[in-house]
Amino acid sequence: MMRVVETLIAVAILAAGITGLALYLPTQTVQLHPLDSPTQSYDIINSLYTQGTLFCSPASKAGVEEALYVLLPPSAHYTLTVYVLSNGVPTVVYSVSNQGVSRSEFVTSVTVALSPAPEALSPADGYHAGAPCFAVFDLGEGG
Amino acid sequence: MVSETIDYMGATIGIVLVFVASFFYFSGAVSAGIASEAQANLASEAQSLFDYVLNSPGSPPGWGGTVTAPAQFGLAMPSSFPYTLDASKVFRLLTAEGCTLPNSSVASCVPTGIPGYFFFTQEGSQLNYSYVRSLIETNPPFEFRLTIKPAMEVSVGPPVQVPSKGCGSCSYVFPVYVSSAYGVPVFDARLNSELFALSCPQTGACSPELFYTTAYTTTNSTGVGTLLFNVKGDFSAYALVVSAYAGGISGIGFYSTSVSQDLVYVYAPPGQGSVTVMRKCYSTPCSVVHYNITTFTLRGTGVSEYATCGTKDMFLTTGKGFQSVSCYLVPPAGLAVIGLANSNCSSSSNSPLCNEEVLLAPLGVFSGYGLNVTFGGPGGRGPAGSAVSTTLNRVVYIGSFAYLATFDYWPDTGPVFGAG
Repeated sequence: MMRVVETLIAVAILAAGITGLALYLPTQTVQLHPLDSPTQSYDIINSLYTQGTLFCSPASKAGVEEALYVLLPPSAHYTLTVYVLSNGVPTVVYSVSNQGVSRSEFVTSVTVALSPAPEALSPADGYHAGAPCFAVFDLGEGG
Repeated sequence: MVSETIDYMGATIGIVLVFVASFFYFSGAVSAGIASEAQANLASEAQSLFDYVLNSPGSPPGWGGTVTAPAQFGLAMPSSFPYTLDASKVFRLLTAEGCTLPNSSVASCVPTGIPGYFFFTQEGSQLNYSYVRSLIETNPPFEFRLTIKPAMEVSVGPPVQVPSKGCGSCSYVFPVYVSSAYGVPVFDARLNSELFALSCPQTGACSPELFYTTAYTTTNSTGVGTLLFNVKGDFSAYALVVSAYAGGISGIGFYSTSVSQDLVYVYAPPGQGSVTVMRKCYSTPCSVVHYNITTFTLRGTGVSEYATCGTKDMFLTTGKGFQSVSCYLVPPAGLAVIGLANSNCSSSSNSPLCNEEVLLAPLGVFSGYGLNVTFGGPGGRGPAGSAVSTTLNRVVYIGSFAYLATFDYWPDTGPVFGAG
């Protein structure tokens, strides 16, 4: 009789453990990181760059903004920031965003080198024409 | 003794129950994990295949310009930037329709996306889905669907305002709708448009002359622009081409009052540098058709005149079969504007049988206008889709126009219905 009681206790412990796991696991979202995002991000930035829309000047900001609006689905969140290296320190030339990246579950970030800065904006900007330039593109999905 | 046996039996049954329950539960969890891994593998395979198709020229590299089937499949333009496609290769993915032409030299028609206007190709030159699939892999365990559509869709509605007969200073007003490939209205797109109209300046039978004028505007927050043309005189036959531009991305749209093509067939074989206009007449006697063919270079921001083919006094008749005229003064990417008037039209007063037309024939497949491709899968000569599929997008360029290429990829391990 005692063994039956022991078994029942053991079963109850096991059942409680399984029930606990069963209740806990569904609350843990199992999602795959979108594997294609880096390639897609690079493709978009590359297309803007090769078509002459994206370059190292604030003059390209409006065009980049329009192009990202047209080329990305409405559900995508993004931030694209163009930097110039001034004495080894990155300085923001401009940034465009639709303000949603921080809410995304997955964010892919790609960095591409651009042609050197065609001109210095002003003496206060502290960089010269020909300064190295690059763009960082964060593409968010989900959330 | 008996109670001991009951003890053992109870313990055994309890443990077996727990074991079975645990097995079912954890096998479900493991299956879900395997399914996730399988989905990841599927996405990885799809990405690899998609990028290969878009960045490989195939073999031979210039297979798009031939009528033979390629030995390796790839759509890239040789020696170009990544994701730049060869228009002639993409053209061969379009679905052809059977058609009959009077001279029976060609019997395969490819819709251009412009109502009433087709490309004519040699029969059998369009690629078969099953063949392309077998080129990628022998007995492949997957199916796919490739769609290519303009990154910027431009459509022109019928005029909301047309002038009255005999007006001196006349106005034509057209609505233009611009959206992205995802259907989102494009705000502040610059529209550059040409209105082509036909006039009969000579006395007697009409010798058509083409008149064209330009208008500009931008789209509002709903992606709609209104184009206003103020012209001298009213026209019964006219056509409109609209270029939209935003952020370095261009789109193009057309409108014509003459989409029925009652008078002629127009065909522009891709890559052959010509446009041919052939008299079309179902029942004799057929009237003589006077024509004017003018070609234009098409850029992202508008058109400019390239050449005029033919003279005012030239005409087509059916007296000795279906007469045709070919114009070889065509730009690599552009537009042929064809003005037509039959012999019942005159500059002074037209008879009820007068038929005037202005036709637009884009030249250089894809380079000049928005054509949609669906290859494979439902609606694309392929099998039905699957609930388990991976979808990828890429921005590609054909000529100077951006397109959105979408790739749906799914395993071919279950029953597949409707395979083509």
